[in-house]
Amino acid sequence: MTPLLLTLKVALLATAGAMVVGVTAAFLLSRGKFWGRDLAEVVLSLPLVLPPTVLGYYLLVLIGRHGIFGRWLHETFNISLIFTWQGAVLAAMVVSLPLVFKSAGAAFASVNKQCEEAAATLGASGMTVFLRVSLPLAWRGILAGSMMAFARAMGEFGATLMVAGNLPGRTQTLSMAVYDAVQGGDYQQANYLVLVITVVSTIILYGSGKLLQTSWR
Amino acid sequence: MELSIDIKKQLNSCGRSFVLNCSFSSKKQFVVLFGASGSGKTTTLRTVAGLERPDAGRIIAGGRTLFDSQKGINVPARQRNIGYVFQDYALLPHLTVEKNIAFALQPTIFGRLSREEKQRIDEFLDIFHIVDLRQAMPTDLSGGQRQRVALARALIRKPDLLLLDEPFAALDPNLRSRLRSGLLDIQKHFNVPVMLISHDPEDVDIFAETLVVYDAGKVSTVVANYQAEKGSAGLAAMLPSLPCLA
Repeated sequence: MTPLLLTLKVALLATAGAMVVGVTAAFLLSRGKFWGRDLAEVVLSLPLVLPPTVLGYYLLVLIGRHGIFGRWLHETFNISLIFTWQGAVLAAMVVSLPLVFKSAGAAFASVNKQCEEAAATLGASGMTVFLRVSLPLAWRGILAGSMMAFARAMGEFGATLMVAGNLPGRTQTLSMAVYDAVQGGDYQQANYLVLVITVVSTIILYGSGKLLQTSWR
Repeated sequence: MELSIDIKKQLNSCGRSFVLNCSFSSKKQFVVLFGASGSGKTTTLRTVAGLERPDAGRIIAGGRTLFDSQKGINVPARQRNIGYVFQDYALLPHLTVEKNIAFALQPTIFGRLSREEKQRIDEFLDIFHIVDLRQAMPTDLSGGQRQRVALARALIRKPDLLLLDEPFAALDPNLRSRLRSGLLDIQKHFNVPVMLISHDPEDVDIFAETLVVYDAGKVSTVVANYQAEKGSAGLAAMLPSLPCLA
């Protein structure tokens, strides 16, 4: 698969995963008061500041052939995520997770709490309040964060390199291809790839900024 | 309906803390909680609706125990069947007027309405004179219109009790008197017991059948049959701190 197509596939799946985990976690943390809440908040935000190589190392410890989760995967399903595009999805998902988590958290915090309370007095269950009140009122923030996450996932390099490697045609994403092209002196290819990434990222940042400008009330 | 409240709750607001200590009962259709802001009226209303949990005590409405700390009963807000109209109405800003009311009738994940339910919504839009606003968004409505939508939304569920938090405070004086008589009509039409909060003596005069006076987190006076005792010397003596009422 070409680096561009592979990058789109990896970034889309990683963003989808980050949205499910990030939005759920943000909602639970914004509503519940429980022990370890602050710690959970910090852990979910860590990928924002840790070097991607450190994240990659953690992932290897977790899902590597001898890792805690990886051994179980290998023994039960005979699956290994290392040096696969699925591994790249996981790496990109972890790296982009805080962008969804943070913006979803801010979006849920800005939802008028009385709207949720009103829904409860009208007979709505917690799930209905989440799906029909909180989520629709927070969706702009969530979408803006998810677009950032997608841009971040598209450009992921360090963690992906450690987990999925740089196998042309199999796990070589755009950012890997840029690295290879520059190393090999193929500047025409490098220029083309750099332009693609820059244009897509610019469009995404512009769109996510626009989304956040308008809101309810 | 018989309403009986006896609750205690520690409150912290704006750096000061006090214990809300509220105890009264009423058999009347109109109960007014009267007092200065910050005296615990809204908290009382919220505990009755199930939005806040008292530290201790009991809340019984129409023979149904909604909260009892000793028996470990705390019916969730969604199962209390009590209508609550918030001070700023809390209409769902992403839904049209019609869909706000539909939400109350079918507060489920998909919210699919039956033909009868759709007819019922039409009927309510008509009763509350908001037919023309059915497709309007809450942000485009005036204060009075928002209140009508909030009332329609609360009443379409046939609540056992309707709670109103400062229903007229945010409105201009002209509108206020119109909406006051509107509320009286609505109460008669639906025959629903109403408990409302106000710091306006005029509201007390118009609505109170049972008057509950709050003073710094405590219920200082309960007048079980306010309309009968209104203007009597006895009442004036009971409410020395509030001469405007007598």
